[in-house]
Amino acid sequence: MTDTAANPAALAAKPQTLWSTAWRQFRRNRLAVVCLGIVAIYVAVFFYAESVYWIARIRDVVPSYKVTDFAGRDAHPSAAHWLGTDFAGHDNVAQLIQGVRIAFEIAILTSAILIPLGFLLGALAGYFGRWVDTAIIWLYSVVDSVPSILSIISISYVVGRGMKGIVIGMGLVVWVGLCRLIRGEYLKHKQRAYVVAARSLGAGHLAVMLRHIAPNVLHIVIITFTLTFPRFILTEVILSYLGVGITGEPSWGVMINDAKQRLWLGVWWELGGATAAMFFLVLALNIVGDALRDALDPKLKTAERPAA
Amino acid sequence: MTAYIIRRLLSVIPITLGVLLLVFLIYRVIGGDPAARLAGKNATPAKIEQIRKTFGYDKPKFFGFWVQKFFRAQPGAGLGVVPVSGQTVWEFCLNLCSFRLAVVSASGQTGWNFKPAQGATRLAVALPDFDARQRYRMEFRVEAPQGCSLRVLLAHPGAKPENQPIILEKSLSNNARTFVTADIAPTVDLDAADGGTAQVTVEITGGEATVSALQVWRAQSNPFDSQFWQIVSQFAQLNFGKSLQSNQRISRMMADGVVPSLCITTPIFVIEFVVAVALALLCAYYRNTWLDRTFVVISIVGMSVSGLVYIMLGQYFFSFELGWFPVWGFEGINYVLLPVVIGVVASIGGSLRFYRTIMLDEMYQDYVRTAFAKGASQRQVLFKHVLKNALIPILTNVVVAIPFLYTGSLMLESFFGIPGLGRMTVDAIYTGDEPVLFAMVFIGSVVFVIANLITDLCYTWADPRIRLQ
Repeated sequence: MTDTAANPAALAAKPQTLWSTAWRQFRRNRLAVVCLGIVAIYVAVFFYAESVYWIARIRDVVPSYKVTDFAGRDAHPSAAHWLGTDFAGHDNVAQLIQGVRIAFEIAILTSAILIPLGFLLGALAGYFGRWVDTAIIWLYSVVDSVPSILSIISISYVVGRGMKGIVIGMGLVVWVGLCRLIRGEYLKHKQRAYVVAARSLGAGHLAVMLRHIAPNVLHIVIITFTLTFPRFILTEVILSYLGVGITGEPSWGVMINDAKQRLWLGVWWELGGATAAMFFLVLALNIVGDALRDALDPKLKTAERPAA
Repeated sequence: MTAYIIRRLLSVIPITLGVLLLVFLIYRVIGGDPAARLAGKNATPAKIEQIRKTFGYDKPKFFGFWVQKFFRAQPGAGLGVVPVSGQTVWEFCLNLCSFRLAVVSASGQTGWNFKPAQGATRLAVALPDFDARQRYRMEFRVEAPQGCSLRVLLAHPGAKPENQPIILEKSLSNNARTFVTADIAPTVDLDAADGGTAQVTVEITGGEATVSALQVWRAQSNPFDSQFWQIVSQFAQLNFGKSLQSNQRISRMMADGVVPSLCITTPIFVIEFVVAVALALLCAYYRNTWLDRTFVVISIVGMSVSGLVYIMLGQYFFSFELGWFPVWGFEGINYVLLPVVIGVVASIGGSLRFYRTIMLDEMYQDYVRTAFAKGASQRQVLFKHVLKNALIPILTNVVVAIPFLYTGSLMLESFFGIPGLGRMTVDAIYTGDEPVLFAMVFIGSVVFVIANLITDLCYTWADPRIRLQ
């Protein structure tokens, strides 16, 4: 084997992509790697919970986490129920696992609204400039002027309680941050040589926007997804408290709210379990998100004041 | 500079209008019929109609020449009308009748079936509060076999039943659904009394027919007499309407709620700011040491716990278990202490991280390197150079947080029973008090817009670089 540094052909055979350098950078942050492992565990739990849910649904039976057992209600932690049972005898651990499913479903569905919306508007504004830019800036300034928690509450309230309200509420409000970042990137990129070259070779606006520039700003979407995920989880808790949250399924917010009254009877494990489940995912995502940002785009400023 | 300030001041207008439009869209368009939402699940159509009239929800949303009207289909007057299935209540106000008819018929068909009886079948529609000087329009769909013909007749209030002018005559040529529009022209006939109930009869001869999607509209001369412009003019006069729950004026409720909210949020705001900036400076001073890293970890850990959990645990331990603070109420200084402490603890993590990022961003600027190069001490650089420059992003963050002083903390206030704006909002969500929510969201946004304006004006004063633009 020859040394790669001495052999330009070997170097050319293994090009260094943005992703490979970023991954090397990311790996150096050991805490972030551990947190990525935590996130991976949560993803595995999510698939497990999803399968439990769907198997019960296809077989048309009551899923195990919903089977009520009023004789064994409000049980203390034991070998059978590690975190005890709730007011209807549901096992709290099983409910926490379903909470993972709800949290991921909310994050995925909300992102399915937020990312296309924010990306498209940001790209249009940054790329075309002029009145398109003015109009889109006006739009996001307006959305941004309403304190986000109030607008999310309002939309969820109006759409009706449940997953749909939460997802639409957060999706229609949280896109502003992404839109801003993408707009800034498009402003920068549209003057670059490769864009000018593509244009002069006859590429249309749409092709330039989506095929040439978009791959260069895609990492922002990934960073935004990782850093807004915790926000979805924490907002869901508030919405559940306000009575516009999930119904009929055990989300973490619902569990925390159910645990509210029982906390005063000294039942702390229910609240503790839900908080811990939430805490580790949010913490891991925050750290992974920061590390991703540092690895992919160190100059990107995503620091936002967390809403009250 | 002056031009910039004027431009900035003017930009408040489109943003404020946009906010009003957004809140209007949320509460009146996205969620469907607001009257149906206010009336609750099992409300009668008459109740929905009444709400619609009281709040002006029957008007066009933005612009329009037609106002949707309320009407009744009456059993006795319609000869030969047979309800499709065993419905018991015969009085429908059918504003959105394509919807309601679908509910009525259990056979899955929308509309009534007309059984042939003595040649012609009739459906009588009563229009209450009929104003003969206005133009009316009635729209519906007919499904009838070939060879049927249709007539629409009108009886003015007070007119004799036999004295019914024909306003529309039509032969139904095919079996498909036919869309029918019948215009009722205004009359100058003084005998046609105002305010009574007019009766429109739909008469079909020659077969069995179904009428569905019936709607009645009244013309209005001023197309801007709409829901949106009504709100614009009301809000411009600072009239936010009345609460549905307490029937108090909303502006009054807000004025009452401001002080308790400020009592909670101002101390939180000030303490949090001072502590977070001090710790951020400390982190910048000892950057990349164990102290800095510890604070970073603490702040991320603090951010990762739900605010609700802080409140619940704090209230449980300090108020209930230990009994150090009162649990509920707003009667003295000790009622405020615990919420303030919890508020600071819950939000300090995010702030510390934010301010630390700002400080460290500044630490790697060229002027800092220059300052170090000319021999300035760590402390001098930090306090004289960095803090001064970091003030600009800090200022933004502070001013942007001011609206939250006003809206208060939703969770804290409702957990500790503080009668502020936050609790008012939470109560309004629980009871479905939409006028209150509408006003709260709008005012919260206006305060934010104004705060942003002030920030930008402060910028021009604090940062000479901006003046040059």
